Amino acid sequence: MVQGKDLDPAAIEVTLTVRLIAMPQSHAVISCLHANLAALEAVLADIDQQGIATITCLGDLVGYGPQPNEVVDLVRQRAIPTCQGCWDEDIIEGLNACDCSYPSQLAERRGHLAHQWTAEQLSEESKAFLASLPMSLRRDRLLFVHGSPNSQHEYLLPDMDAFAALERVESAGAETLFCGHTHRPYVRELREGSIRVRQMSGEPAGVAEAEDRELRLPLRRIINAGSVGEPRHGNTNPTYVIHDEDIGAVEIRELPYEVERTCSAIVDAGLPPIFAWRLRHGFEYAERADDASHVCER
Amino acid sequence: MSQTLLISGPPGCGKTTWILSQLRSHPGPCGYLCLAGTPDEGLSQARDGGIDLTWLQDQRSGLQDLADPDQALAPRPANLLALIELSQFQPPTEPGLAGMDRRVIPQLEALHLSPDAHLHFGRDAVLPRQDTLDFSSLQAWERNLAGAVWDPASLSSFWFELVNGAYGDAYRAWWCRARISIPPPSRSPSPSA
Amino acid sequence: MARWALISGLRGDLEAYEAIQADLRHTRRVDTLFVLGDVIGPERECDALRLSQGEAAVDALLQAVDPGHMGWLAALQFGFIELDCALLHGSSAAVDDSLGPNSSPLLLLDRLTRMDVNRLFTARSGRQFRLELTGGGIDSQVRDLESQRHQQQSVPQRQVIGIGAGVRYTLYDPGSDRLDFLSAGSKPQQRPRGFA
Ligand SMILES: [Zn+2]
Ligand SMILES: [Zn+2]
Repeated sequence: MVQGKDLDPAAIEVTLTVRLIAMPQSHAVISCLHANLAALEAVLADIDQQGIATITCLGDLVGYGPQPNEVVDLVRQRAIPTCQGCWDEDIIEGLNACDCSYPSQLAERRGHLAHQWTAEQLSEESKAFLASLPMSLRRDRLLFVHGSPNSQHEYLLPDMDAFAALERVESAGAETLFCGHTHRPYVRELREGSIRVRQMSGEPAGVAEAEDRELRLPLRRIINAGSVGEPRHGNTNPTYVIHDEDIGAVEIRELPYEVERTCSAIVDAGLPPIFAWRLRHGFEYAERADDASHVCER
Repeated sequence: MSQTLLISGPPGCGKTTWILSQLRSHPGPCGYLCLAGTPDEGLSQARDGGIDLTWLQDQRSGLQDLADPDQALAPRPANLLALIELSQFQPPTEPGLAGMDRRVIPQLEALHLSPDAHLHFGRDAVLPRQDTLDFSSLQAWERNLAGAVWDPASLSSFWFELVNGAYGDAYRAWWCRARISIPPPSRSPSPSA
Repeated sequence: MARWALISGLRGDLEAYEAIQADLRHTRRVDTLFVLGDVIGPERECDALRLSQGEAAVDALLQAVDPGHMGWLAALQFGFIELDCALLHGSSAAVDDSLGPNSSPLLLLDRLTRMDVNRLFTARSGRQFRLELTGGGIDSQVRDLESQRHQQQSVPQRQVIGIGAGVRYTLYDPGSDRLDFLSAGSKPQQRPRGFA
C-alpha cells in the first residue's frame, strides 16, 4: 500500500496523464434540466470530477422549475451542445403540446401554469438561445434527440414495441440513439432482428408470383439519459448517462443533490407549493400520458 | 344474551377497525352507533358524516343502524351485539362504566341504549395497544365542490397528494356525495326531409 | 358477406371513375366503396366529378361536393379504420408516405404497429401489391436503475396492401381475407388476380 505522503509530485503527474489518455472517448449525456439549478450544478460537478470533457444536452432546459434563466445561462457558459426539448419549443412557439399529452385536467392546468410563469420569467436572451437550438445533433453514428427523431413530443418508452423502436433509430440513420423526455433512464439494445416477407405484386398483368425475402436487422441501441431536474424513476436523485464509445459501455449515473434548495426556490418564486412537495417526493410535477405512440399532430 | 358496548378513544386509534373485527366474529345480529362526541378543551371534532356506518354496513351484511329512532322502540333481538363508537381525546378519570362521559347519556337514553361495559383505547387491555398520533389540535377541512367539474384522473391525483400529506398531515379523508356525470351521447343529426 | 372496393388516384378522371362504376355494377358484388384520396388532380377537369352526383355507390361521398367542395376535400378524414384494417391514402405516419412493394419491411411493420391494425391498405404509391409479414423476430434487452429485462418479440402476421390508382383498383373480402387486384374498362373479361 502506497502512502499518500510517499508520492512525489512526478508520480502524481504520471497518474493524471494515464487517466487522460485512457478516457478520451467517454462522454456524458444529460437531459430534462427543467430549470433546476441545484440539480444541474450537482450533475456537472459529478461529470467534472470524472474528468469527462464532452457533454451533450438533450433539451428541456426549462419548464416547472424555478430557475429557467440561471439554467440557460449555465448551459451557455459551459458551451454544452444542446438540442431543443419539448418545453424549449413550446416556450418559443406557444403551447404546442396537445391536451391529450396530459392524463388529467389538473395536470394540464399545472402544465399551463408552469408554462405561463416560465414564459414571463425568461429573458429575451434566454428565449433567443432556446429558439436557436437544433432538433437533433449528430456525431458520426450517434444521434442525439429530445423525444424521438420524429418529434420532441414523442416518448420512446423502454418497453415500446421493439420493431417500432428500431425503426426510429434506423430511419434516422443512426447506430446509437440518445433520447430523454421520459425522465426515466434506460439502455435498450435491439439485436438479432429479422423480418421475413412474402411479396405478391398485382403487376404486370398476369398471374401473380409470390416472392419471399428476409431482412436482417442491424444491432441498434437506444440510450435514455433520464432527467437532471425532474426525475421520475422513483426518487429525487438526478440521473444522466456516461457512454464510452470505444467499448460501448453505458453507465447510468444517479446522485443526490440539495433538493431542498430547489424546493425553497419554487416557493420563493411564487410557483405552486405543490410543485415543491412533488419534487421533494420524487414525483413529476404534472403527470404525463404514457402513450409511446402518441405524437402531437398540431 | 345481548350485549351493548361503548368503545371510546382518540381519533385514528383504530376504533372502527376493532369494531368491525367484533361484528365479523359475532354470529348473531349486530347494531352500530357512532356518537358525535362533545367539543372538548378547544379541540374541534371532525364531522363523521355517516361514513363509518356506511362502510361497516358494506363490510358486515345486516348491520343495524342503532341511530334509527324507529328501531330504537322495537324490541331488540335476544343475542344482539350493539357497539357504540365515541371519539374522546381525554382518557376517562374513573374505571369501567363510571368513567363514561356523562354528556352522552341523554343521547343513549333517547335511543334506549344502556351500555353493559365501557372500553377505552389506551386504558382497557382487551383493546389493541393504541398506536395513536398525538393530536394537539384537529382540524376538519371541508370544501364544497358543487358545480365544479373534476375529471376522475384529476381527483385521483389530488387524492394521492392529500393522503400522502401534501396539504398537511391527514389522518382521515373522504369524499362526500361524489357524483360523476357522464355527458349525454351527442345527438345524431336529424335526417333531412 | 361484405366485400369492399378500394379505389384511389382518380385525379379528376371521370372516365376512369365511370369505368370502375360499370365494372362494379356488372360483375362484382360490392357493398362498400372506399375512395382513398386523390379524387381531384391537375390533369383533368376536377368539376367533372360533380356531374356524376347521384351515382349509387358514392352518393354519400359526393353529396357534399357542392360549390364549396374545396372545403369538403380539406375536411376529409385522415383515413378509415374498418374491423382490423386501416384504409389510408399514405400511411399512419403521413398522408404523403409512399409505401410500395420495395419499402423496407421494418418501415411497413412500424406503420402497421402505429395504427395497431392487421391490414393496412395504402394508395400513395399507385402500385398494386400485397406484402405479407411471414416471420422473424427481435431480441430486446433493457437495463434501467432497477433491473435488466430480456424480451423476445416475434413479427406479427400482418399485411400491407397497395390498392393501385386510376382504373386499377382492388376488391377485398375481410371475411375470407381474399384480395383481387383489378383493372377496370380495358379488358372487361380479364381474369382477376386473386389471392386468398
Ligand atoms: Zn423533460
Ligand atoms: Zn420533454
